[in-house]
Amino acid sequence: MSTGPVLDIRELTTRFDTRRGPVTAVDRFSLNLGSGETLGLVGESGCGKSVTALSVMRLLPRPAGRIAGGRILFKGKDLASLPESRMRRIRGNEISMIFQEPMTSLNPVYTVGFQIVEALRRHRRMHRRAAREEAARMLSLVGIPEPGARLNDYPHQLSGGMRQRVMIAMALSCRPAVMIADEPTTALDVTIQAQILDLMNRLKAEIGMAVMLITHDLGVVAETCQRVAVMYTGRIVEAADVRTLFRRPAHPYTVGLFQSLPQIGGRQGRLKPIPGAVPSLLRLPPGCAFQERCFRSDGQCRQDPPWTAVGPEHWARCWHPMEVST
Amino acid sequence: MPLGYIAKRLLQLVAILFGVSVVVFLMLRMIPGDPAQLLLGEFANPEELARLRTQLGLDRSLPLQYGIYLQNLLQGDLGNSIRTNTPVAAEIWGRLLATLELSLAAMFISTLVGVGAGVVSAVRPHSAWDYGAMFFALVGVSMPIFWLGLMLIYLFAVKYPVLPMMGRLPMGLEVPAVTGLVMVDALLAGQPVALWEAGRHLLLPALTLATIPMAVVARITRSAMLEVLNKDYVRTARAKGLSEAAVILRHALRNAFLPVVTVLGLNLGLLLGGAVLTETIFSWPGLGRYVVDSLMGRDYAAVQGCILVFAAMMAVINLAVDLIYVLLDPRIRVNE
Ligand SMILES: Nc1ncnc2c1ncn2[C@@H]1O[C@H](COP(=O)(O)OP(=O)(O)O)[C@@H](O)[C@H]1O
Ligand code: SF4
Ligand SMILES: [Mg+2]
Repeated sequence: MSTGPVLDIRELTTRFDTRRGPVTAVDRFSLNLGSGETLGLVGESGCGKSVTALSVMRLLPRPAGRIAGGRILFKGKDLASLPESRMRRIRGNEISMIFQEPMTSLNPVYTVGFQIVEALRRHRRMHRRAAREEAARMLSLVGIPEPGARLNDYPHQLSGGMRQRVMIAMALSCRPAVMIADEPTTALDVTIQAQILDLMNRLKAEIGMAVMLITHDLGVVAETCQRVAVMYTGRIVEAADVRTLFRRPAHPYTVGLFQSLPQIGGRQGRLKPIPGAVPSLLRLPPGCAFQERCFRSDGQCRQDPPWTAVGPEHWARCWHPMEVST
Repeated sequence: MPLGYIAKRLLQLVAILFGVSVVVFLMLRMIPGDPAQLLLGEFANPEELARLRTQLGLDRSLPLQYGIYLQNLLQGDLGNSIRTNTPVAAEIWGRLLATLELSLAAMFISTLVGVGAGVVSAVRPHSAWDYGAMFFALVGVSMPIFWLGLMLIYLFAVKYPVLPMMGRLPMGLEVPAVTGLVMVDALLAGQPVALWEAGRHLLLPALTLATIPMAVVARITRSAMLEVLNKDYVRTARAKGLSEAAVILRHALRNAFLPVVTVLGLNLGLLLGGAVLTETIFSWPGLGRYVVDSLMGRDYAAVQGCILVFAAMMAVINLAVDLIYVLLDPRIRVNE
């Protein structure tokens, strides 16, 4: 399927300077994204998914946030050290991003058409007329009826679902190689969610891009992704293809995630929330960050657990992964 | 822009002006004593008083009197000044344009400098620039206009005499009045020397009048920009790969203008009050000075006319602010 990764993140570390000290929101994060692949990045709220995405885009809130280490290789360039002016030519052009909040992500004082045309003119050096035609084409591509008329609409005249379609149209207008979608459906109601996910699946094939889909919803992952990585307190704790992860999760945290969900992957039984709470990033225990909540932890877990191959293309960061051999 | 909304606001404007005319009309009638006596002063002789009473219609019923007053008003007749015995309307018109020129210049300076300083402060918060600009803004809002005007005169007209300290043009220099705004008229007449001189005369009074609104605008722009820069749509603009200038000016500032315009609108009364003081300090032949002189000279017709014009100005400016607001914010456009 792939001809080598289009995005190769190696040991990415992102820190925030806060009043209570430095916080490592993303910790030695390594992951690659094959071209044309959809990869799911899952984990509870606050585990560092958005910060990972913003690091790749180099859109971390300044001055608090900064990439403190690692490399982000895209088409042979390291985005982590690219000058801002060159990064600007990549953003919205070769890598684009859509956000969780369709209601607030579009500028209220400009028409939808203006905001799409702006991206096209910036990166494609298109003339106004041509850019408007292209913008209308994008709107029809994302399933917005009467695209020519909608170009003149202001964001507040559109529903949340429609706005997210506009965001997608805008993000895809320059045919990026990679799209990062940060919880694109979380703020939408269920029927609209399904429509947007369908749309993203279709467009991904049409444009031939790779997608990094960030979500805390394993159901969304099951429907859209080929591979999935699970994050906990800034680190990837497990990675596998979707079928493997859903059938035989190896990391105790992933197991806990499934047990706390109703009927994912046909798994029946009582809901069992993971005991305890996610520890503060300011006070992580030495070794495995999950140890205080883990049903398999022992003294060894106070050492940093190794990134262990537990099956073909299946890894877990754990001293005592679940038995996954077939 | 919705025509229905504009029509509605224009009707409101007419209603307000009507109300103001009633108040101004009643003001003179409600003063205890005989208005004719008041107008002519205590040494007037009985024939004169009687003639004025008939002329003012004081021997008729109050509603009828108002009818006559309104009729005159609609014809642009605000009565005659007792000091000069010339029509008040003509006096006011010329001075109104002088005030307008001063106020426009002050608005221009305060918006340009205020918005610029606010934006730079917000983009580099807690920098030396930010602290410096906000310190000056704090000093600026609490600056007594009178003192500021006198200090500017002392510095730039007395100690280092580089700028004139009174009037609109040097003695003997004149431009043909077309618009009544001297700088514009000089431009229209193709008189560069007059344009230069008019600008020099305008500078100190305009700076004096501009200082407080400039400080207010700088502070509001800064806080509005700080808020807007955190909005999701600004992040979207960056995610599109736009240049930082486009992000800040096109996406953030355009939204930050909304609160700035609102507060400016609310502060217009202050600006007018400031104009009265400024004109007095710089002998600027505008409405502010005229109203002061008229009050001193108990020139009631003139005072009445000025109040009417001030009220009309406030109403028109408020309308303009609202329309600008509608232009700036598409969300209002549709709701109305
Ligand atoms: N602006 C910020 N300032 C300080 N810390 C932040 C900031 N943004 C995020 N963080 C830290 O990074 C962690 C991960 O946040 P985030 O990536 O938004 O989580 P999520 O997985 O829900 O997207 C948070 O728990 C928080 O500690
Ligand atoms: S390393 Fe230990 S504590 Fe951490 S998940 Fe594995 S077994 Fe549990
Ligand atoms: Mg998030």
